[in-house]
Amino acid sequence: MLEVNRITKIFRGHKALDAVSFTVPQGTIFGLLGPNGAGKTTLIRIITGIFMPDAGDIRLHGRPIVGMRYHKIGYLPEERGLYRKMRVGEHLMYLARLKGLSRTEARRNLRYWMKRLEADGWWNRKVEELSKGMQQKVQFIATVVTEPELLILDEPFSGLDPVNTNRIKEEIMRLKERGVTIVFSTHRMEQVEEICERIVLIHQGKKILEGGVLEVKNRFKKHLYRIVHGEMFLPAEVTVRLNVVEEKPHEIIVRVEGDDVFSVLSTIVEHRIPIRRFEEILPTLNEIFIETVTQKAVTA
Amino acid sequence: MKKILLIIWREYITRVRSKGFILSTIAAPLVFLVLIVFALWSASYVGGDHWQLVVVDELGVVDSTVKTEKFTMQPTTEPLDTLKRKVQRKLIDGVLYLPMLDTPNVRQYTAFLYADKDPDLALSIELEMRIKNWIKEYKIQTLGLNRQVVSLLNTNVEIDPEPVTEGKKDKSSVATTIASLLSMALGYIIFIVIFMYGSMIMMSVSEEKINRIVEILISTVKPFQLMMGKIIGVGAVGLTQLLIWIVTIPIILFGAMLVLPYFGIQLGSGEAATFVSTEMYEGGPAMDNDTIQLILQELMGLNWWLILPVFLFYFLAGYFLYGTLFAALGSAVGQEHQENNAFSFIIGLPVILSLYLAMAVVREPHGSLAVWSSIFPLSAPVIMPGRIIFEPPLWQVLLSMVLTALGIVFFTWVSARIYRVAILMYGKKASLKELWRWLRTP
Repeated sequence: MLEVNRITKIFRGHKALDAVSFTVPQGTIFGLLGPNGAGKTTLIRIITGIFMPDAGDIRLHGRPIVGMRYHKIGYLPEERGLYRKMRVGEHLMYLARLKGLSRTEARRNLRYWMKRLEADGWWNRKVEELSKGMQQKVQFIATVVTEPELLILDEPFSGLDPVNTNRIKEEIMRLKERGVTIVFSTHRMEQVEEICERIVLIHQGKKILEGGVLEVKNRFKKHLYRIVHGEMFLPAEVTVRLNVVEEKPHEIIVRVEGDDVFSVLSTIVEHRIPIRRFEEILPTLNEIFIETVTQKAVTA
Repeated sequence: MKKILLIIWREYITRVRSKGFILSTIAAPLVFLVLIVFALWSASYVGGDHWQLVVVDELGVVDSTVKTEKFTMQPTTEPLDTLKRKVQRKLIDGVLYLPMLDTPNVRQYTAFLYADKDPDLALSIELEMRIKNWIKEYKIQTLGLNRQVVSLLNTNVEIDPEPVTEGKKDKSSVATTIASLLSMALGYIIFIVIFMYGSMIMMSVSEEKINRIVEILISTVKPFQLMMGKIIGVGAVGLTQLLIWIVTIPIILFGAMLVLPYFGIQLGSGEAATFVSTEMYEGGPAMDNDTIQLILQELMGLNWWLILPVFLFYFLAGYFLYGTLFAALGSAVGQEHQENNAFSFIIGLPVILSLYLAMAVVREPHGSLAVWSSIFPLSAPVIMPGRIIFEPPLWQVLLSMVLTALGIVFFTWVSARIYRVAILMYGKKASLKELWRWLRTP
């Protein structure tokens, strides 16, 4: 479990982070979201020990890790690169051993991961000979080779093709199942919806939203329902009894205050209109993101 | 500690294995050799432009044909006008006219060269030297001087320093010259080392920043460890290269001395020097065996047990002092290489100035300029190794060493503070104001 407790960081009188707190339960994938310049990178750098916070503390499984460069954290930064002139195997060995692995451990883990990610023939190839996607895989291997307890992935899929994106996604899921706590930072909200269980949204150094993905979506829902029906358009005596937001051929979107779906459904059933589909419309995380961030911008 | 060793190892092994290192290590002594050979060859080079001259000699000093590589000159009694026409018809290249002297008491003499092509500098110099000797000969004869007495007027002077206190070492006359040359050479070596390996550190640091690996590294090791690992790693590369050169350069030079004479080039004896000195400059002795003996003797007589350790200390001190600054610089600047150059010039400036100071130090090794510049940490690494040959007071050497060591600590501290902030700053220009701010960031 990762506990971030009232972390504050001030750069030249500007609060980059303002008492940010959240908890990431062990074995979950946690979305760390926020617009550019919100303070995500600063927060990640504090968790990894690169920066010291001005206040607050961070615990991993109850152990304080502020300023520790704790070796059981695997960090894949957004701005990442490799030494172009080094050979892949040698490069990975170097990074693994810097993290404290012995030579044999490092070699064993690397062989395992390179095989898993179909990179076993790369040991003697120079980094500069690899494609960008292949280099991303090498970086991912470097991040997980130490069997970390906490994995911080900043835009891990950028530059990967759909096939490799799926491969890495599978590995992330597998690590999660093995109890690794994963902090996932990205601007791609559809990826967050797909793999994250919980999120925190940071804006201008402050936490403005935290919770489970479904819970957050419910919190922001507009009580809208979509009804797909057999008629071209619904008769007027039906629509007057509904709060119609939008109407299209075979489809109507209504707002249902208090979520009293039974009265809506009974109205439609009363008029013997065939219902093909009836569903609640939840906002996407993208919509929630844009809404909260722009709202904050207006109030600020 | 283990991490810093890993960083040093990576820095060292990737560099030593690179093609660049192998090439430059092999190429440098060869370039050195080519430069020496070229210098000797160009100094002794005589152009293919050979002048056919005749001389109209009213002084009566040229009695036979003079033949050198540059010209052939025949005495003649033909009238000047006929000869000028011969020049026009290109039968000869020119006529040298030596007019009569009214009195031997002149101090200025003008000879005339009638020619359509312009005499080059080499010809002019050679003719002037010869005419000067002829005039001298003429004056000796007309004034009825004794040739042997006149030759006594030329005296070579040297100053042989003699110690007054007993037990102090007696030095020969060439001691000062040797000490000065050696002093300059030592300062120059350190100057080169600072620049060559300093810029290597700078590039290595900015490479990590540009290719973005630094964030991964910095999440594992402290910036200070990374910076020091790099500096020590590059330093080890430098020492390796130096060791290779210490072994290869003498071998190459020795080999060249054996082989080159077959190509008509003499190393060591200096063909140019013999050419000038033999007949043209009077009394300028070519380096003879005695002199070489004396030089070797003086070199052996120097206190190497002091010079070598001091040199090694300042070699390393200069490297670390400036190395940390170059590392900070590499972290502060991004991809704009022009900016890199401008900044490295600012850091390099004290080193360049030190080299100029070194020349003043050689002239007056115990002057106040020499004393203070050999103590000030930014110039001490270039100045003190050269000055140590002149045996400065011990307190000055110790003070200089202590201050230089403190300077290293201080600049390492300054650089580390700039480095740890700057290395993670992307797309931000490093203004001096910004650097100052980074320095004060806790």
